[in-house]
Order: sequence, then C-alpha cells, then structure tokens
Amino acid sequence: MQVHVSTGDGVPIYLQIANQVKYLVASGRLAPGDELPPIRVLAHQLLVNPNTVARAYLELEREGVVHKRHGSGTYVSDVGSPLARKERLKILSERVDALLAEARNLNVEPLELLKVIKERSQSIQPKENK
Amino acid sequence: MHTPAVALAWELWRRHRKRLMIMAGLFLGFALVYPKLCALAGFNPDSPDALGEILKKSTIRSNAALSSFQIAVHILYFLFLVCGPIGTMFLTLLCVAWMFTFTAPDEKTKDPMAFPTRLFTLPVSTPFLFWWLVLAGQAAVVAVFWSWVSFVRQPHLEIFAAYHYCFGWMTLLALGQGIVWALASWPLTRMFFLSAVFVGFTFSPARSDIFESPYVLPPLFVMGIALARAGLQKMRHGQWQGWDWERALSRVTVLGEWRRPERFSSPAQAQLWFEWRRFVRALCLMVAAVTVLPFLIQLAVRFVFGLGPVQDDTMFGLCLELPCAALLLHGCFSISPTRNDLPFVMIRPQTNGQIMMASLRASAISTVLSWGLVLGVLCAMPLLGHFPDFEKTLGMELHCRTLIVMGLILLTWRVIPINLCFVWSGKRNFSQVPVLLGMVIYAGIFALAILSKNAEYWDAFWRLVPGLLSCWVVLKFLLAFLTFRISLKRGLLASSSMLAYLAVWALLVAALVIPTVILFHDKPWLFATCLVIILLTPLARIGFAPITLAWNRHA
Amino acid sequence: MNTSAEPNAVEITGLNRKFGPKLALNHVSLQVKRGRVFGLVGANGAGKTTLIKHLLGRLKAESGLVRVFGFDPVADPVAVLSRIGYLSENLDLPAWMRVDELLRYTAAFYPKWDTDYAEDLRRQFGLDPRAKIKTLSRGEHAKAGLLIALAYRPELLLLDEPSSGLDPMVRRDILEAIIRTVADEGRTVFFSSHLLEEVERVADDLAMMFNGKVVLAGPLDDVKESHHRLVFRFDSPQASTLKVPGVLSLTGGGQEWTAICNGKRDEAVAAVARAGGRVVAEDSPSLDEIFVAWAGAKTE
Repeated sequence: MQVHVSTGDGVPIYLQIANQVKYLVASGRLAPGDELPPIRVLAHQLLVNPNTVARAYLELEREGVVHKRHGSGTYVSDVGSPLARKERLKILSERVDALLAEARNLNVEPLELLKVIKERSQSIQPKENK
Repeated sequence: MHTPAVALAWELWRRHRKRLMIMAGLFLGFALVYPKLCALAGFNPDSPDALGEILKKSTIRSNAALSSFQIAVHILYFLFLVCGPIGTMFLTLLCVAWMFTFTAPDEKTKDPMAFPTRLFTLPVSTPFLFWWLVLAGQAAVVAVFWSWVSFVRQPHLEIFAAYHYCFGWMTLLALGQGIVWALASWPLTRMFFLSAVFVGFTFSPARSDIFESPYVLPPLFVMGIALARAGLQKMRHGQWQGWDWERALSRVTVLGEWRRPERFSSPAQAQLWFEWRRFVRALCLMVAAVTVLPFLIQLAVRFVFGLGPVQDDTMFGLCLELPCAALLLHGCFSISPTRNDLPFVMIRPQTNGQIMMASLRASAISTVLSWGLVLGVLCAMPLLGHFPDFEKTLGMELHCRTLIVMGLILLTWRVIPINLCFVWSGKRNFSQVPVLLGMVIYAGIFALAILSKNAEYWDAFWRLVPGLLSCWVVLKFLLAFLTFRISLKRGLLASSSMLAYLAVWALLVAALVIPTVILFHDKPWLFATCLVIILLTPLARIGFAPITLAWNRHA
Repeated sequence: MNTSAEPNAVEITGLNRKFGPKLALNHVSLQVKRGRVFGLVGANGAGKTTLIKHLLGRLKAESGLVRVFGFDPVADPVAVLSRIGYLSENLDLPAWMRVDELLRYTAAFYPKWDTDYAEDLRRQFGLDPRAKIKTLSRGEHAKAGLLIALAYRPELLLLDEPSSGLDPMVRRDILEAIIRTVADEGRTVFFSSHLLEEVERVADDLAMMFNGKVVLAGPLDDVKESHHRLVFRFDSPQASTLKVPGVLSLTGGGQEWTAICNGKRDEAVAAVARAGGRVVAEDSPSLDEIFVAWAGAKTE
C-alpha cells in the first residue's frame, strides 16, 4: 500500500493517512477484502508514531471504510456499504470544491464548467469501450 | 589595535592579566620590602657569603623558652629570607616562558596546552607569528631576568648559581616553544619531553658548568628555535598528524590483548578492562621502552659490536635510574589531565566507589607489571658488566635495599590513587592541586638542603619532626574517618569495598612497618620512619575520591 | 520502590537551575507518561540539554524535584541509569575503543543486554566491529551510540538532539529506533529536537521551551488542534504596526494579514471584525509555524 505523509502542511498526519486510504479504496487500488498493513509495519514504513496510525485506522473503521476481523487484521469493507458510498461522495465533493474555486479564479461560470465535465466524460468513455 | 603585532600583544596581556599583575606585585615587593626585612633580621644579602652570615647571626638560643611553633616560624622565616627571591624569580621566569608558548587549555579536546588554531585562519603569515612569538618571548625573558637580577638583592648561594645564567633561561624558552608546537599532535609525548627538559634544567648535576659549556646550551637553543619554526608550520597545515604510536606499535600492542572473555562476568571486570586499555597498557609499554630498550641496546653494543663491559660508575648510575623510571612515568601519568572518557564512564550504571576501585586495581596491575620489568632488567644487569659492589658504595645490606625497593613500589602504586580525588573533581583549579603539591615538595627538598647547612637549625628541625608527623597522622585518620563516613552514607561507596580497601591498607602498612621495626629496632629514627610509612599509604584521599567524583558527576 | 506502579516515567516539578547570572531553567514542570513518545522542542539555548542532564543526574537540582521511574538520579544513580538508554548530542564515546570492545564493555553493565539483537543492529547500521571509534564518521558515531543505547531495551530512551548534524539516512535510522521502541513492549521515549518535522511525525506529547520556561505542554494532537492559522482581509490597508488581541503572531501587509492564534480564535475574529476585516481562510498551522509564532511572541 503506497501512502505518503508530509509534515508541515497543516493537515494532521492521521487524517492524511485516512484520506489517502479512502482515496485508494475509492479509486479501486485497494479492493474490498484487501488487508491493510499492520499498524506497526505501516508506522515503520512511514516513520510515524504507531499511535498516529492507530488513530487513522480507528477513524477509517468509524467511517466504515475498513473493519477489523476478529483481531487478526484490518480489512477493506465492501463497496456496497452505504457508509462507504457516503465517504466516496465526500471525497469527490472536496475535489469539486477545489475545482469550483479554481474555475472562479479563472472566471469560468459553473454552468460552463458542467459543460466541460460532460464533454470530457464523453471523450474518455469511447476509449474504455475499446 | 592597528597591527597584528599589537593585537597579539593585547591578547597576551588580556589572557594573563592577573598573572602579570601578581608577578609585578611580587617583583616590587621583593625589590622594595625585602631589603627592609633583611635589615630587620640583620642580614646583608649582598655579602659574598650571605648564607654563612645569616647562619652565624640567627642562632636559636637553645633553651626551652622557645616553643615548637616559634621554632617552626623562625625556620620558615629564615628559609624565606634565603630562598624567597630566587624561588619567586624561578617561578616568574617559568610563567613567562609558558605565556609565550601562547597555549591555553582546550575544553573540547581536554588538551592542557592547545595552540589557538583560530590564529591560522587570520591573514598573518607563519613566519610573522613565529618571529613575533620567539623574539617577544626572548625579550620578555631577558627583561624579566635582568630586572630581577639588577633590582632585587638576592643572596648568593651555590645551589642557585645556575639560575643566574640568562642564556639558560633563553634556551628553556626556546626548547619549550619548540616542544609544545612541534609535538602538538601528541600530548602525552609532549608532556614527557617537557618534563624531561624541566627535570634536566632543575636537577642535573653541576648545572652551572654544563650551562656555561658551549657544547650544551647553544645547540639546544638552536634546536628549540628550529623545532618551533617547523612545528608552527606543520600545525598550520595539518601535517604531522595521524601518525599514531598505536599504529606504529600495533604488532607489539597485540601482546597486551589477552584471550578476552566473550562477555565480562561483572561490571567490575568490565571497568577494570576499561582502565587497562585506557592507561595501563600504554604505561607499561612506556616503562618497557624506557628500561628494556636501552638495556637491549647496551647489550647489543657490548656483544654485537664487541665493545668492552660497561664502566662501574655508569652501571651504578643505571641501577639507580631504573627504579626511578617506573615511579616517574606513573607520576607523570597521574597528573596528566587527559580524562576525556569520564562522561562516558559516569553514564554507566555503576557507583563512584566501583569506578574508583577499578582505578585502584588497575594501578596495582600497572605497578606490578612495571616493576616486574624493572626488576627483570636489574637482575639481568650483570650481563652488561661488572655488577658494582653496592654493599660498599651505598653502605647498605641486602635487606635494606629490599626494603627500599618495596618502599619504591608502594610509592609507584600510590601516585595514581592519591591524585584521583583531584583529577576527578571536574573543577579546573582543584585538579591543579597535585601539580602545586609537587612544586611544594620540590621547594621542600631545596629548603631541607639549605637547612642542613646549619647544625642548630637542622637539630631543631629534627626535634620537631616526630611531633609534626604525629599530628599529621592523627589528622589523616580523622579525615579518613570523615570522608569514608560521608561516602558510605551517600551510597557512593559500598561497605564491602571500603572494608576490602582497609584490609589492603593494613596489609601494605604491615608489610613495610614490620620489617623496618625488626631490622632497625635500635635506631632513633624508627618512630619517625614508621609514621612516614603510615602517612605515605593513601587513606583519606581514597575516601575523598568518590565525593569529588560526585561533584563532577552531579554538577 | 515498585516501579511498575509508577504511571509516569519522568516527573519534574518546579525545577530551577542557574549558571552564574543566567537562569537556564525557570520553574520547569513536566510529566512523561509511560509508553509514549515525548518531544521537547526549543531554540538553541532554551534549556533542553540542561533538562536532560538533570534526568541523568549529571546536574543536581538546585530547587525542585526530579524523579525518573520514582528514583532520584542524584541519590540513586545506578537505579536510574540502568533503566535509561542515552544518546547524547556530543561525540563522547571513548575514541580509543573499537566497536566490538564498546559492545562488550557496555554489555557488562546491563543484565538485559541482548547480544543477538545488538549484533542485528550492528549489521543493520553497517558498523565494522574492528573499527576504532575515532575513525568513525559523525553519522557512524551516532549510530554506535544509538546501538549501545538500544541493545538492552531500556525502559526510557533518552535522546538529546539526536539528529543534529546528521545526514538523512542516519536520521531515518534514529526515527525507526524511536518508533520501534514505542511499538514494542510500550517503552518510553524522551527526545529533544529542533527539527520540528521529525517531532511532528513521532511525538505523542509535546513541550515547548523558551528561555528556560515551558510555554506549551500537552498531547501533540491537542496542541495542533488548538492553534489556528487565520487569513484576514481588511477593507482598507492597515499600518504595519497593526496589533490584533489574542493572536500569537501577525504577518502581512496592506489588506491581507496572516495570524496564528492559540485558543483565542473567537476573540481575534471579533477584534478583526470590529476593525473592519473578515476571515478569508482558516486552517491548521504546521508545528514549524507554531514554533516560530511562539518564538516571536516571546521575544516581544
């Protein structure tokens, strides 16, 4: 599992880890049923305090993204779970917020932005069909 | 400050301000007040036989009206009048010579005479630095010397005639600068050579003849200047470093590593190994270098080159110098302040008492090994030539000599334990006490030499001695009781260690006192000698050492 | 004293220390809980090393109390030192020893020394057993010091500016050691540093020192959450002598100003609103920025 943390950007480390795991799950790089690395291993890999990793895992469990299986590890939950879907939408809304802010800076109206999204989505789809 | 020369002068003044003022004060005191004191005592220092005069004038009315204390004061005052000026001049000139080596103790490397290498980052050329320090130093020495000789009326004494030779002092300065700068990378070797020069300057026989001969001082002077020049140059460019005794003797030092255990069985064994590797091995190798090597060379000279057996008087001299080698090397080591490893040792979970006991045991091992070497060489001496007839020359029998050798072994062992309490204290001034004590002993020997010229003073002194020694012994036991009690109470020393040491102390004292009593039971100086043996075996300072180590460990 | 009953690994109360006229520690009080990583940050000369020396018993407390696992480091040095693994900032390993001799010597003092673990660490750190310590580079020297501090699994790992002057590889090794200590068996780590990004990564609790005083202490997460970075925009350009109550530091110019405040966010926002401005952005500052803000506030 490739996760990166950086200090000094204001976002707490446990939140960075949680967000990245959520992104990995949502983008499919972590499939449901995959095991997350043990807390100690991830702490060693990222060079952060194990308690921070534990807190990240706790946060993910609370939001239903992962679940603990009888003390033997932490596993990614199924996609179909309603909480997971809520999480995925939340991630996307953050991205949309950033996109909207940038559009505003570049003086592009939201309606025009919607048009761009539709166009891009159509141009990508044919590639996937092939 | 307009020029580098002025800046250097200002730095010297600033660093040694207090010392210079004290020296100036002493000089003025002796120049102005001393003649008045002499007039009061009815002593004319300018007369050709000043000592004879004062001896005639100052006789103690040998009646019981004068108490011991007053006699002691009388003797001290007499010594001051006779030796005061020359002693102060000696110390002043030594201090001036040291000032112009331009060194200072370095906190980081714990080097007592470190040349400030920051000078080399300034835009001054090495020749300029060299000439300034050498010329200014020589000028200062000559100026101080002539002012002392011209303005202070010093009594003329045969013993001190050599110190009134100006070129001798100039050579001492040149040699000092040369050795300090050339051997900057090897502090121990430098200390050794400096001590050798100092000892040669003060103790060599027939000094005034040696000093005036053109074959001794001028070459030494030139050598000192050359060494100083080369040394500064090499110091600046970082050359002459990295060459290590250890690497050169790596074959030989392997001998010092016995089959090590995989794991030390106890902290005490580990700490003993630490002390062994830190100083005992090097010290024993140095003793070997100073005793065995010359012997082997002499042996080679005799048998390989076929030169005849060594002369009687040279043999005699060698037999006397060999025992002193071990003692001298241990003494030099004990006052050397290279204790960089103490912080590391003090972090280990061991008590101060355990650290001290390891040091005591290590110095015992080093004494035994050094004396083993010395006695081995002494026994092999007949190979060199005709073993001199000691009985006749020294007037001593075998058991006397054995006792003296045992005494020397005790002296060799004790020299490290007695200085632990000063060297470990971590306070710079306190750790200089052993050096001061050494100078006091040196001064005391001179004082005794002068006293011996006057029969009445000599007798009075000897009458005082048993009383003084007894007081001293009582004080010693009192201090020992106090220091051991404090060490035990604060948990610095385990009671088992203390009892072990007390047993060793009793054994050492008994081993020397009992034969002395048996052999010399009819001699008048028996009591004083036994007191001296008791005084020489360290007790109070051993109890004090854990306390001073605690000052360092828990600043 | 039953040490397992002691909840705190280190307890310091009202500690004062003077060096001549300079007050190095001014009524310092700290608790270090077991099983956590405690980071002590401060500028150079703030008193961090002085504090650590008190824990080792190298300095005696002039007034106040110092207890490590319930023991006084000065009265009971053996009990304290046998539970501490110490890595100092200075290079104070004996220069004449070899690495294998260093291991063998140190092993004798600690009954819990694990020879296999020490050997593993030595190989991992890449230290040649027959190399003399004086020939080691600074990084290797630090690794050797770390090695003998870790090999007996001390209950308290005490590091004094462990990363100063070291390259990133060695710093990683040190961070790994800290994490491993805490992750295995829940031992305690106390380290002082002015590399704040490292402290942010591994510390559980934080204390910040300025001029001998502890100005901040608490769990790292709490510290970070209680500090806010606010960007204000005023309707009209403000003078450079602008002061907003309740903020630690204020930088900027003209109409836009950035402030860092600790817990007094509402007060600052209200004051800005009164002065004709509003908050345009708000987020959490990094530990670096918090530190600089406090440093600025303390020098005023």
